[in-house]
Amino acid sequence: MVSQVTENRAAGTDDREEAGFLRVSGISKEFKGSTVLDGIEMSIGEREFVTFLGPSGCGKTTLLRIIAGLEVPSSGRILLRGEDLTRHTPDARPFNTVFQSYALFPNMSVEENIGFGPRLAGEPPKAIRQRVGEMLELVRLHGMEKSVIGQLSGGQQQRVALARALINRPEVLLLDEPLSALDLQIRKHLQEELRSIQREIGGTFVYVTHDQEEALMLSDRIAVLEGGRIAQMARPQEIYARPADRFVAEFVGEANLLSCQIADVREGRVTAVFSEDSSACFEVAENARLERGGRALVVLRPHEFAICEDPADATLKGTVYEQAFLGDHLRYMVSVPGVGTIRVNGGLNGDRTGTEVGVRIQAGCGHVIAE
Amino acid sequence: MTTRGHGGVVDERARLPKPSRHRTELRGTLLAIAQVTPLLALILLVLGVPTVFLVVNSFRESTFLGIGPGPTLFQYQEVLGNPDTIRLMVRTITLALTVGAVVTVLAFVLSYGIRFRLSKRMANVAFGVVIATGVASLIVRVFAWEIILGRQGLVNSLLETIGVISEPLEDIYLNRFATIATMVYLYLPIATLIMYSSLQNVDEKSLEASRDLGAGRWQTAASVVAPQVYVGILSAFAAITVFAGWDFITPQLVGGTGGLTVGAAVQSIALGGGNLPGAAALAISTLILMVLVILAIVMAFLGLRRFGKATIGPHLSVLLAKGRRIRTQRVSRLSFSRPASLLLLVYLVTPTILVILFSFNSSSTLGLPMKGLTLDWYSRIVGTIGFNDALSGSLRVTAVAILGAAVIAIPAAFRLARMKAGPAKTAMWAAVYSPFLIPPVLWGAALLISVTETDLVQQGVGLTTLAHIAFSFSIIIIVVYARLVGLDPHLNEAARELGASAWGAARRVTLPLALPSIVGALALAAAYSLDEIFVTSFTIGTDNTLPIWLFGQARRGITPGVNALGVMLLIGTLLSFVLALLVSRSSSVSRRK
Repeated sequence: MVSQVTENRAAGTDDREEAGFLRVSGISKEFKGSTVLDGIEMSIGEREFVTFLGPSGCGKTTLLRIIAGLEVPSSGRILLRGEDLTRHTPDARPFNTVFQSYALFPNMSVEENIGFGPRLAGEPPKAIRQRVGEMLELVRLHGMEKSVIGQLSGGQQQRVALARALINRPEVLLLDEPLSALDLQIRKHLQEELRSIQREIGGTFVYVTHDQEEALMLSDRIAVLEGGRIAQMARPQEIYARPADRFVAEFVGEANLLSCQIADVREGRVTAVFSEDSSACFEVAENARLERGGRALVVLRPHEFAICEDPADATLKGTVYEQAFLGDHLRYMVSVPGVGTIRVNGGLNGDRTGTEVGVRIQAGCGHVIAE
Repeated sequence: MTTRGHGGVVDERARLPKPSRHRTELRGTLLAIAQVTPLLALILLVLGVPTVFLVVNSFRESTFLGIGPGPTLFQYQEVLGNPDTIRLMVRTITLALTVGAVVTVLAFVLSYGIRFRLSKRMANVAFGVVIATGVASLIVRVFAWEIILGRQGLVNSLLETIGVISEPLEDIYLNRFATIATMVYLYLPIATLIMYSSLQNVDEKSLEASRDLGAGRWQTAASVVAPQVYVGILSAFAAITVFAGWDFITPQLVGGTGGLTVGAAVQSIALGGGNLPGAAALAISTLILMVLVILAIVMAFLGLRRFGKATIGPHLSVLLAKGRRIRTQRVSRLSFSRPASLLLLVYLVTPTILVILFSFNSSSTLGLPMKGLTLDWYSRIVGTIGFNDALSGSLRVTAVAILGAAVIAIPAAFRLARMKAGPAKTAMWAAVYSPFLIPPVLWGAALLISVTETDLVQQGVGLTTLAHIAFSFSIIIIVVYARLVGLDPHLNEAARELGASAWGAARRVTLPLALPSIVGALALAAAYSLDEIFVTSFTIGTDNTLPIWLFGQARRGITPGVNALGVMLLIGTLLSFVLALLVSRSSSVSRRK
């Protein structure tokens, strides 16, 4: 398993997803009259790293638990390679879960925890010992076989939980906010490791998090969930550059939402009018239905603007009322009459607080969504 | 407690700068001594010294007049040299072990169900039922089995009605089976509570993880849950075995002619025959044998656990896994422990309800059919000679015991909550728990021997009250301590920093927060005291309390009148419990706000 090299791993992701490896079909879940999940449809490809991203209460953990079999859906089906697993109990599914609280068995050593699954499967003790060793190697805990769970740090416990789940060679590994209880430093470190482990073993990972940065960094694809529905499911770049709606735009990355009027619609591009003397041309989100004369929002990231010295180049004009130093750049808060406050990134030169500036939208940037 | 002078916030501030470190320390030490001395003194007086008397006197001869000269091994030779006595001991211990084992298994199932399988609301109801039946009067719960198993009881009536039998079955009642069924019922609640408290430390997620990793329900319970709570399992087993072994009420009421157990023998030798050294020797021998047997079982269990982990374990899981693979490809979501625990709850509730129901039955026999409703039995039993004395005895004992215990227990609980873990604290806890560590029959016999020897106190309400103070303060300390350590320690620090003295902080912050738990603890102790019969039967002498009087009446047959009296006692204990519950609930609500 560990040594199984995955040369044939495709560079892109798009060709993997339609294989219909793991299908979530029309999954709904109701708890005491309130709808937690509402008709979730998705298809996850083999060896894909998919993240469910959303604020707390969006249903992401419930969806993961339904896939794991720890929760029964009110309706809908879970299919693996076309086989219906919806009525299977968790132990009958070829999936394993890494829990947020790790859920390690305190009565067992590291070795016994990791060897739990193979032991149940009736593997000979010698083979189990060897495989546990391999797993410890994989998660970089070699030599800690005999350690007691209570003596491990949070990061170490997380590695044991990961090894315990992976040793069963699950068809899909489910991870429920596995890093959220850890310090920032260890979290960053484990993120990288998790990604490289996934590449190394060529496994299918489904990951739940509320941390958009984590989702962007780890995933092949992200499903942004809101109120029990998928707001958007796409590659991270796509989610970031072309959010489907206002919720996604605001939840993933930092966004300026500029209200505008649609002047012209042509071949997926519109001309947006901000005020009498400023307008620009943008791409439109796929699902956004815009009409000429209607109102819409332009999504612009802070780095998609530039402060311009020549007022003639400026799309918008405003006053800087605050600026902040953010390490490698400055952040200006610019008050634009008729539009509102926009956040603009700029170079590290000079103090502009209180000055009038022109702001230019960089070429090819910006994206229009429904209001 | 220090004097009133430095109670307020204002004068504390005015006295800045603070008194010298030396003086503060000295005052702290004196306070600590004042807080724990009464407790230790009382434990020594009513438990420590009598136990010494008990042991010493078991090495003395008995004479016609009472206790003879010593030291001699005569009493032990009498006990251990008599095959009948040995048989009695073995029978008692086997009975106790049977009850212990059955109760442990059932309690595991029930507490597992409550902890993991029942819905939240259902689990709350179940937990309430367990506590309520555990608190409800013990002797009355024994009565219920007459209604169920007796000659005209439910089982016989039912079987007759459906035509399975024509004559009532005699051999389901007044025998060993009835004794075991009754004792299992009596001790299931307490075992469930012990087990539940250790199951609370088991993370629910570890069950999910186990299932997720491929274990079935039984495998999860056996290989993930049980090993995490084996301490709880063993303590429940040991505790119930001891309770059942020294319960002399149940065998006498439902055990029939074969119902003699060591406890009953000790009681009748000590009280009836007056052979105190003989009773002491019998009790001590049986206790030692019982402890040895329990220890052997616990050691065997632990050894097997270690051994099994190394050798049998892997093979066993292979077997289990092979069996399972065939079964669970597609499983229904029916579980075992949910219906099982619901059944056990019915088992706990039904007898108590029957007792209450039949106290209103106008028929003069306890059994079916119900003829009509009447309050006759209540008025009759209240009018019986002896009732008033028993009632006033009970009220006096309980009221004085609870007040006395509160005065001793509350300061001690505060002290305990502030003590750091260490030998001193361990010793304190040993003292607090000791009234429950010594089997009540031995404690009772020890008290009886002590008063006979010293002539300082006489048997009666006074002596009984002393004993009741001892176990009451145990209950109060345990409950109040739990609340005090649950409080945010920063609360007290904040109060001190804002200028309150130690006493001021306690009075203005900690005490109000702990008050509901104190009231609840007092009510719980009252319920226990009101119903206590084992120790009381040795100490009460010619006075009376309700349960003692009730037991006396019941030995002549459980009549509807006796049953009605039982219901009154039941209601008394349950009311105390409900009060405890209401008070603690209102406190938890205010905490949430």
